[in-house]
Amino acid sequence: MGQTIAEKILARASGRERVTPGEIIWATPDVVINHDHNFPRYLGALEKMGRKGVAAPHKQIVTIDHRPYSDDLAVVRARQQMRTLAREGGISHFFDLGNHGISHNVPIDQGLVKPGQLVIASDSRAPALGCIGALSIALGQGQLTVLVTGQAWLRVPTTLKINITGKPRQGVMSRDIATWVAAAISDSRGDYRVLEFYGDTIDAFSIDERHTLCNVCVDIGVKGAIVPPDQKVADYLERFGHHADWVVSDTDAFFEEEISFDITDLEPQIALPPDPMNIVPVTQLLGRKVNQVFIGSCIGGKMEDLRAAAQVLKGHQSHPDVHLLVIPATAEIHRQALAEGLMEIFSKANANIAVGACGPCYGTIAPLSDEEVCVATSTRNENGRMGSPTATILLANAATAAAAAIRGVVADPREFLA
Amino acid sequence: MGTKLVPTQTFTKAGRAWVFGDDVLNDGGIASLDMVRQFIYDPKILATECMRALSPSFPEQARPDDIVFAGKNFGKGQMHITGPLSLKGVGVGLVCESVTRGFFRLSVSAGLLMLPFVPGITEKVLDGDPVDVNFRSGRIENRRTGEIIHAQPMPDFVWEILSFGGEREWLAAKYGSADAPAAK
Repeated sequence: MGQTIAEKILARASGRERVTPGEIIWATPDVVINHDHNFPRYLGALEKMGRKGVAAPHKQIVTIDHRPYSDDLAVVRARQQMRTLAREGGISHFFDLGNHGISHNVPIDQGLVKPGQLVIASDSRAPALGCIGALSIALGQGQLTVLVTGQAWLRVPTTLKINITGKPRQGVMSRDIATWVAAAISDSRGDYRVLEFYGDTIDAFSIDERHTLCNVCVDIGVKGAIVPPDQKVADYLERFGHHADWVVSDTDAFFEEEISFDITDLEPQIALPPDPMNIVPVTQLLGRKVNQVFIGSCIGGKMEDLRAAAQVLKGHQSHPDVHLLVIPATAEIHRQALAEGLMEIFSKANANIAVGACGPCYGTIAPLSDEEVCVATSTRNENGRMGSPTATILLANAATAAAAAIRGVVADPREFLA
Repeated sequence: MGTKLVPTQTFTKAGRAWVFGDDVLNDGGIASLDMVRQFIYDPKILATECMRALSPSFPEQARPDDIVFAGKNFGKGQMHITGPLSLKGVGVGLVCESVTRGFFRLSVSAGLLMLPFVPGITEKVLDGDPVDVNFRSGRIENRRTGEIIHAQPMPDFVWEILSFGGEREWLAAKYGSADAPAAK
């Protein structure tokens, strides 16, 4: 019996020939990702144990993303602590203010993850990095064990094979496709599993679009989501002068299930609270009053999203009743958006612009007031996630969000793309 | 090795059952969403609002010897340790039909006593039933009906972490003070 990508990566990382789904193994990650919200807490815990520094400093990536704009002195001190640790060699890749960005995007911007690697991160959206063929797993506070021992305990998951075919219609983005597919798989089939993606829709996806796809799957509880490497990943590696051995599944690998989707007839979607999988076609909510539009976050603040939003917003201003926020996911993405003229379009649309922050996705920078409605490209929409528990978060693709910003109500992005 | 490797957590509970359904949310269900957003991690503070959204009297009335019973997909939603720490703060144990991947790992980190994969358990226990649970062996006894259920216990390795009261405690016992003097 052959092995899946996840099984091969976990076997190598645990020094074994092969691993079996269900068993618990100790694996040594290739890359360990932390951010400014969790990492200082972990350092504090390590200090209490009487430990100095973290295991495998050369594998550590630390980014500032949750609180780059904080005026809280505790946050400023924590930042100073991380800065000092980086300067002393205690962490190799620290992305300080000005070079900061969301921890799920910075490693792609910087070419710090490769296909076939085992990536471990504390933050829940870690599986997004499966976009380049890595197995990227979120551990939450389990990260502490990795920071102490250099290893993680992991239960070997089974893998589902997902085929997605069809050419997306106008106005349909990776967000719509990913959410529609993930909602159909649901957590009853996705939880604990690794998803491997195939099909002509996926072949045509850019790295950004694959990142969205793998990121969305977090909301059905996956352990990992992987797009097998191809020429697009080879191009990504070449851009950074990297080489990596591709890891692909054997033809006789065991997949727990194989599920196929045709996205040809799919329309742009909107997710209603309290669950990102609670989707309806955007046409069912047209005209609903909107107070805020947020284009940003690890899932909706990439070049793919900024380009789509700019295409809609070009030559328009946001509606006077709408607070439009645009937050490129990283400083590097911001620079690229500037170079492409996208930031000028947002600025002329009266967007409030910040850089490299999770921002409203977890309720900071611009929380919602009572009864307000926000159309957001961010990750989740439980009541209260962006401020008042009576506010409503509608999740949509960046073009749909931009259309709502112009109209002041939920609008069909296709009106602006014709 | 700084501290002696001695498990500290007892593994049996005899109390009342608090029964919940499927898909109990982590943020906003088990843990107060306000406290999640305020980054509160003190189990004793979290305990004061634990499960209140689903059972308003739970934080005041649940006792450390009680057990939360739940259906499938317990701990759905964001991977925040606030939920497991909230239950830990109350002191209760957890028995459910299934738990999400993220919540399972976080509960191990938090040292929450649990039997998280017991199919059909919510049909065998009513809210308020007196129950005895041995989390090490997996034996569940409903003292109202007399029924005894044998659940799959945690694997030995996971049990090792739970028996120390959680990941921090386990790490401190096993790896503490390796590179530096013990913290005060």
